[in-house]
Amino acid sequence: MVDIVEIDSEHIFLVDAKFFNEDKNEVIDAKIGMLTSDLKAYALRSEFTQIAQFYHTVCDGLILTRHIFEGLERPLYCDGKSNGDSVKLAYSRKPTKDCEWVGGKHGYLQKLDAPEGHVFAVIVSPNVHTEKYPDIKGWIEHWSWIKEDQGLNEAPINWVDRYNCKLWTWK
Amino acid sequence: MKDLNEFIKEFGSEDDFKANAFYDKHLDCIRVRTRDCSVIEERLSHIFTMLKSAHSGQDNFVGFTIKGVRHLFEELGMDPKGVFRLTDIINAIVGKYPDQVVKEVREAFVSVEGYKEIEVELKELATA
Repeated sequence: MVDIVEIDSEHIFLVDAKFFNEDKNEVIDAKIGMLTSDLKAYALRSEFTQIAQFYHTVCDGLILTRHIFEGLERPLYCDGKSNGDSVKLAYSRKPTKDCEWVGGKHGYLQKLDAPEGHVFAVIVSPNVHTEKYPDIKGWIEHWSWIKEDQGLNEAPINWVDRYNCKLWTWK
Repeated sequence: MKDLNEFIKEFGSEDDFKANAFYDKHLDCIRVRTRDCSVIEERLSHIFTMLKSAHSGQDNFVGFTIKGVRHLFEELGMDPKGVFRLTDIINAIVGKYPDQVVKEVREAFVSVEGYKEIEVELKELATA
């Protein structure tokens, strides 16, 4: 489920998702945002498959996330901080379907089976601008397929080395 | 809300896709894409992630990601401002870290048509 809202002249997709509330140590239903300006940047580079995946795999499936991980194990400078890696969240699950956009701007959507043995991961950054966007818990920043871990279903390969910790698993 | 078709028709470029690179300020990385398709990411090292097509069997290199750009530029002694040719960045990384992973990425990259012309702007990194 997805809505679009306008806040201070910015259009934002609001995607239903789970969000781990560290203060209460519980998972809540929440809205995760994506600036339409970020999605338009893909359109300007003719990266239409990324947009198709956003609509069909991110928007329709983020609420079905199986695992939420915290912290990327790599240097990441973000928002003026050198430890931006520590706050990033990774949502992973194993959808049955994938899609591609075929034929440029005037092309069409092609639905495909998901790549076998892979999970779909979405990187989310917690919202720190809570005064301006009080109803948004996080921001969608990236999505892609990653090989599945052998030990933990629906998790990216080597998740133990890839992330700082696992926050939550849907059981 | 615009549906997918409406969104692409309103905001999409009329130009065909061509290999490109851009700086992702949210994740402090340079994303290099050589084809518009669904991708699988394969982590090669703390610097590089290789992108492969999710649905084609052979010759499925479709790009790569250079991670931790700000830290990397410090390591390379490069000032992260302005527009860079990607080949210059790759060559600098090869010079500093001449390992097999870096050579593998460079080998794949130089097979891309027009690779010498691909540039990336680091303006937003410089002002972060």
